[in-house]
Amino acid sequence: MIEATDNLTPLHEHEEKLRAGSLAAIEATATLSDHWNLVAEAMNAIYAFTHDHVHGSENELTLQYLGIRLFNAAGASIKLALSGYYQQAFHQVRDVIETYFLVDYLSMYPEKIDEWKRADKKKGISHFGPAFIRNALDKRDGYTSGERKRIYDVISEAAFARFVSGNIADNDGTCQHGAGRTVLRRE
Amino acid sequence: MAQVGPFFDENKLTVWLNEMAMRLSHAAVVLTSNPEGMDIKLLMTRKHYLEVANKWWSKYRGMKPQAVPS
Repeated sequence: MIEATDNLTPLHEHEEKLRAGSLAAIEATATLSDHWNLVAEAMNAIYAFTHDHVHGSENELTLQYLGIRLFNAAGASIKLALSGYYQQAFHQVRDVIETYFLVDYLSMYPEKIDEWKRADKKKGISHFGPAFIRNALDKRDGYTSGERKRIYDVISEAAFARFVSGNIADNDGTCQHGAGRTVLRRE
Repeated sequence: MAQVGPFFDENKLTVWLNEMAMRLSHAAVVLTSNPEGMDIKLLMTRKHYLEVANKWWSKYRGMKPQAVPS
């Protein structure tokens, strides 16, 4: 009798075949190769800041943790998309956008970083929730038509996902990139 | 048609990769914009990255995200 777990091996083999096909498709198209190269360069820059750079303050350390979240979401998205799980890959793109907006906001108002770290769930939503952050950034940039919400909604539509906000949970100084332990978790 | 399990779709791959390039590239610019201290290695990495990002944004979006430091 075939065990259910036996199906996971051919599933993984199929994912790996799709990955090879996806990479070949990217390599065969100049535009996709340009996009792929930019993603790789962006991850390289994020890694340099979050892993190699020695933080100068607690605020910068917090931004490094958010950089880890960006790196891991991007890595997961790549893993999923190349292996043919597009909808789930867009879940991670949405996390990239959400985290990016938060980094942009906290970089603009560094005095709010400590307040954000200590915020309880209620305050986290009212003062630092995605909608609040998007509106503040739109206001800064002079957008009146909710440009960031439009972007977020488009990606959410692709992901068909329920919104979940994130926050820093651990802060013991141990960082791990890629498929290892992460100091960030979703709440 | 509904699909169970992973599958290859070049259109979906293209849309996903374009979105990733746009969103992650901006995120990296913002995240590395004001490093504290004098980290020459990071500044050089950032300079190279901005050159690559600017070239891409100029080619595909008709704009530049940020000036490259001299």
